[in-house]
Amino acid sequence: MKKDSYLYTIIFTFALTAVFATMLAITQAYYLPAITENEANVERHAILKVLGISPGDDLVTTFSEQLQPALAGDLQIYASYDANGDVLGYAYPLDGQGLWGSIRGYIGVSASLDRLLGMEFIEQNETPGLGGRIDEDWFKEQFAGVPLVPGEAIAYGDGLDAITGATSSSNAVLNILNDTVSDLMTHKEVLAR
Amino acid sequence: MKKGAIKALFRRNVWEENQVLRQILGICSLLAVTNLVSNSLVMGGGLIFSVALSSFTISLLREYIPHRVRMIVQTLIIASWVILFDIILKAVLPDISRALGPYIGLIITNCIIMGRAEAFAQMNPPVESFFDGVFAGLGYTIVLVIIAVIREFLGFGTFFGIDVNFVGFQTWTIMVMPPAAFFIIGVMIWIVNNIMARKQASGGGKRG
Repeated sequence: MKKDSYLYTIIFTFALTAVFATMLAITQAYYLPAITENEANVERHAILKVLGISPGDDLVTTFSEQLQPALAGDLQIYASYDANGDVLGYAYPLDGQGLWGSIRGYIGVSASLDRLLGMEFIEQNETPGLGGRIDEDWFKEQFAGVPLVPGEAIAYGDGLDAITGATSSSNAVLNILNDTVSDLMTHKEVLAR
Repeated sequence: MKKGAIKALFRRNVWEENQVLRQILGICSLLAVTNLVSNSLVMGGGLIFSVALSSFTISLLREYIPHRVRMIVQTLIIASWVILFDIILKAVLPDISRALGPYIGLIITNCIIMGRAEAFAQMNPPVESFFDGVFAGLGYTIVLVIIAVIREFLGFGTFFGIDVNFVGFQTWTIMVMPPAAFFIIGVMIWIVNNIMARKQASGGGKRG
């Protein structure tokens, strides 16, 4: 068969695609459990962090011992408890549009839903070095302790800084946060008992 | 393969025909990642891996690839290696994979990889092609890191994330933004072109 004939070209292209696609499929299938577990751990880590719990030596054990899953509407949330079995705080999922893509994460709120305990991102696609700095600790940590006043949106200013050169990403985070908080407040009856 | 051949490949890819400075390839990713030294190193590492393996594979198959579909075949091979690298990284080194985020995908579109496939791997044996890829990636990485050191210092006052702004000067926001790389790469190309022109004028007879 001539190398430049149509038939050879078609057979060659199909065969090569099959070889590479199979190689990728096998690798993906082989590593899928590990990848899923890694992603779950990132999520567990974020949930523990927004509630101010140290992950300890074994992340999975700490997670299952310290937290109880609960439902707010159809959202999966997690509650942490003190020694007497009283609720200390809730981890509530955060989800929305950033400047370049979706931003996903968790916020921690106190049991009485009157202040933020923390904020963590699991997924964000902001510009590295600019908007991507929303994932730096100094930025996230300043949200811990911010009071949640009904009817009043959280805003930058007093003790809460946006990122220089990344106004859009900073504002996107703030909007997502405010949306998440107002969403959370609709479950107030269920949560703040 | 002779030792001298590797040395010649090294010299040509890192200096004389540097992908960025002499051939003006790979500029898009250079603008994006050079605001931090760590990002640049990781991007460079990913590119070295991808371009070396892609060139090797393309060279192995070079006798069998039909001429009219060669580019689509090259893209297929490049994309497969990059995705494979991405999957393994996600499973084995999740922290690094998270830090890299979208950069891995960007490697597929880096013109250097296809450039080496078209210009070298297509007509040279696999081992030579592999080294050609490694050195082309290395030349790219070196330029990236030089620019990143300048940008990170002026833009953030840091080096590898460590604060080195001892004088306490005001950091330049422009250095954090992609256009800053344009200014620096422009100056670098100007300097290198001058050196090359001077070399040719004085000792042009020595080397072709």
